[in-house]
Amino acid sequence: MELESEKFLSNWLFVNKQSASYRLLSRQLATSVHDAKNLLYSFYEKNKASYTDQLFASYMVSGKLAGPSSTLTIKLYDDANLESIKAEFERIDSVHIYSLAPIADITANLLPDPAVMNAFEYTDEHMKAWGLIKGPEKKLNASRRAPRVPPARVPNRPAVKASTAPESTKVEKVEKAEKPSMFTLAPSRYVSRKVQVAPSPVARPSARAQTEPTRAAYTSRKTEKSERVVIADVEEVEPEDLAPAAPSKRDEQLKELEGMFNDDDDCGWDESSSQKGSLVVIEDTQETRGELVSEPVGAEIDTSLIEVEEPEPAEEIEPVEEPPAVENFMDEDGYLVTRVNTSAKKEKEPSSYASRKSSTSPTKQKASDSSKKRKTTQSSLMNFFGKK
Amino acid sequence: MPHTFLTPYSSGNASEQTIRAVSQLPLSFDKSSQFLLQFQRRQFGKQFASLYHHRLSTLRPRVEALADAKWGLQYAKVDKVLDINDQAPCYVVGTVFCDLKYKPNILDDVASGTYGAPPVPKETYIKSDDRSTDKILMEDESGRIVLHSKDEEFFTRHNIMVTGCVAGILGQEVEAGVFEVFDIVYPPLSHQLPRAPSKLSGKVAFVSGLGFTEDAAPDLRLEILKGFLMGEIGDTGLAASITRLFVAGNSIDNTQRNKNRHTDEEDMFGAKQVSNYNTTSLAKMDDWMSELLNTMPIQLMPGESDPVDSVYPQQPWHRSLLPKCFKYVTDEGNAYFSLLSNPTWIEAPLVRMLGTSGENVNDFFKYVFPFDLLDENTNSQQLRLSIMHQNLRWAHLAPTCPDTLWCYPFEKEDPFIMDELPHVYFAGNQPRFGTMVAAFEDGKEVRLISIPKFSSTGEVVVMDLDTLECECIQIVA
Repeated sequence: MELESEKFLSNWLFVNKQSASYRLLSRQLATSVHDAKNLLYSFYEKNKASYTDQLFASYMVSGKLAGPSSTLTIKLYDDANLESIKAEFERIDSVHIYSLAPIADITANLLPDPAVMNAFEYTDEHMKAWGLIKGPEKKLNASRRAPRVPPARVPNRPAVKASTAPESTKVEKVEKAEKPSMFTLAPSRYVSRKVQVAPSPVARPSARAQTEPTRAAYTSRKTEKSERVVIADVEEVEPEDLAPAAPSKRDEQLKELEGMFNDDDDCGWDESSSQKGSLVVIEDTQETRGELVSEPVGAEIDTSLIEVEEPEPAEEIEPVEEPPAVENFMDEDGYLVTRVNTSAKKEKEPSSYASRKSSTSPTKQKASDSSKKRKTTQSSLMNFFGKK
Repeated sequence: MPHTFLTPYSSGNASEQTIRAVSQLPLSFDKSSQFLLQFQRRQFGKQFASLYHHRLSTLRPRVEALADAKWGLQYAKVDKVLDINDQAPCYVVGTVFCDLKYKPNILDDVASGTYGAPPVPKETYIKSDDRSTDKILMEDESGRIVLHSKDEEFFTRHNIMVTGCVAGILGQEVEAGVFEVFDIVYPPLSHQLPRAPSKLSGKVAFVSGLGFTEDAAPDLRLEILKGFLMGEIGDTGLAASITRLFVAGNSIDNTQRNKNRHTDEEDMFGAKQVSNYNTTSLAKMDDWMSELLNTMPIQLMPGESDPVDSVYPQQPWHRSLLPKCFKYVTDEGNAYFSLLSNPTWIEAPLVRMLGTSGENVNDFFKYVFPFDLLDENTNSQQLRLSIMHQNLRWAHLAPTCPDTLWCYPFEKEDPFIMDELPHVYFAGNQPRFGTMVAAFEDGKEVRLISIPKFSSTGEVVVMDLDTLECECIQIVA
């Protein structure tokens, strides 16, 4: 264990030039955080003499500060200031090492990259090995579909979504070949990420290419599926969506956006009233919506058929949507009162609907016919010049 | 030598995993949906006047009953403000209106033809040496009368009044339109559920103003807080006794929102379709919270800087904004990760809590604390607690809605009227930590907690569910 931690730390601190916290070491070695702190400290004790200007430690002190303040204070100190805790603290509960960093300014770059930390999976076994507190039983909502989130455009963290970029996997392979054995997961991935951050002129020749990164990604995913490591929580694109005859990217985004707003409609505001059954219904509709998205848009739809079918239900619904009579008046206290009068107004309605039906349907039919004709004739501006 | 301080750790024994204490928190109870609004109810097409009308008509009988019992034998009752005459002392019930020089006034904006973005929020509405035009009035359907007291601190210390609270006043008209106040009654206190002593040993933690920023680097204090709550740093026994974390608003810091705004002259009118919205802060919050959710339940309330509706009552966060935390949302039974409204009622075992993210208390504070003393007076925390105490006396959680606190124009309802007294009343996003037990008549007691803003203080409040004692944990980095 100690040998492994030393190998990892020396590579991480002196080669990668990254800071290493007890948490990173614990996750990396699958050991408890307390062991990780001990390992971190023993590494520091061994190496601080030989790496005086490359190794700096920070400590976490918890206890009660002198003076009337909070009951418990957790304070971070660097190596140089650690002696002052005797004067500042009235009672010291614990002092332990927090992290080692290759630079002196501990607050500037104390924590490892969040993407590295997010890669570790929190299973029950892992949490037990890491020595975390075991929480209460939780019912995970696995059946519930995660909300559709459009791919985030985060300029600051482009490399986190590395799995979609084809060139990144190639770089990863090269890196693996260079450093084959020692650290299998996080270090190699990290190095590859660093390389990805640097813009490669071959892969991204223009600014436009940066705005449309996923088009290239679709082809690569199918071929190099086994190489992918999903780090970020962007929803996976299903294989149906990647079909060659898939709709254009813009349509897809539009559908996704619409899906988000539909989510908004069925959000469980009234949690007491929402039942399991209703949830299932929502899922079903979302599933079907997802299928609709994956349908190729290029397939022609007979518009005349749809237009003939549509008016019937619309006309049945129409009388219900007629706005009720509204009357405004001032009451005795000077307030403007709005009263909605829903009764005594359904007298002459049937005849009016009948007349409307007879008047509207032929025009709609005409419109559909004409639009069909127009479709066949209108193609481009050049027709105008060509024929005359 | 540093290593002499280092706490010795026994070699990690994986079989001895610390178990977190458990507290039940039912998702649905009689008040769970008091501040939740269906989409149909979120309409702005109505007038705000009916909200005041409904508030007065609901609270007036309650106040009158108390006023009759207190003054009815000696003094005459006047039904309407306009009926007050200067012959003898009398009492009347009405709605308070504070006419303050620095308070934003919608009528001024309408008169000057200003229609646009809302004005920048002010720090307070009064100035100690410029109060000649400030007035406190009482109004009802008939008219208004100016309230006056010989005691200068009558309305600012002993009987804090803000726009919209309903009260009964005893006094006499000293000159036309000016009423000298002798005494005040508020609506009688609502009932409080009995609280039998329990043998619970669990605690809950409150934090507000986490303030996730758009900077890509993680905030060190938030990481330490996470480590503490997960049992990695400090006293593991204390961390394991914390059963839940309540996040009371302002989790996202939007003050730096436009710092990295994309400005491209060629992109005029958004032709390039590049969004200026930066999701880094949301992604950071999602990562932080989902990692913590592995070991403890979290209840999340929105706040004024969070990406939710800004009007009171604020509706819960939308689940799409936190995709990693989403799987922990449950619909029934015991709450694990729940998205609450602001304000909200919480039912912990034998403890009813009423909490806000602090917008209402911060707004009341502006009515009573002059802004020229803001920098000098460091002891304003006691004033905030007494404002919270007074807030319960008004029997109304947010009387300044809709005058200086935005709210929906409710018609024939006012969800902020209190018909039950909580055991704990907390307000988030306060400058400092403070707590006290507010004692009321009939032996009723309410624990008041002002939760400090984490992004500026690094403080978390931990409350014992049995004794309701509070302690403050500070993280300095």
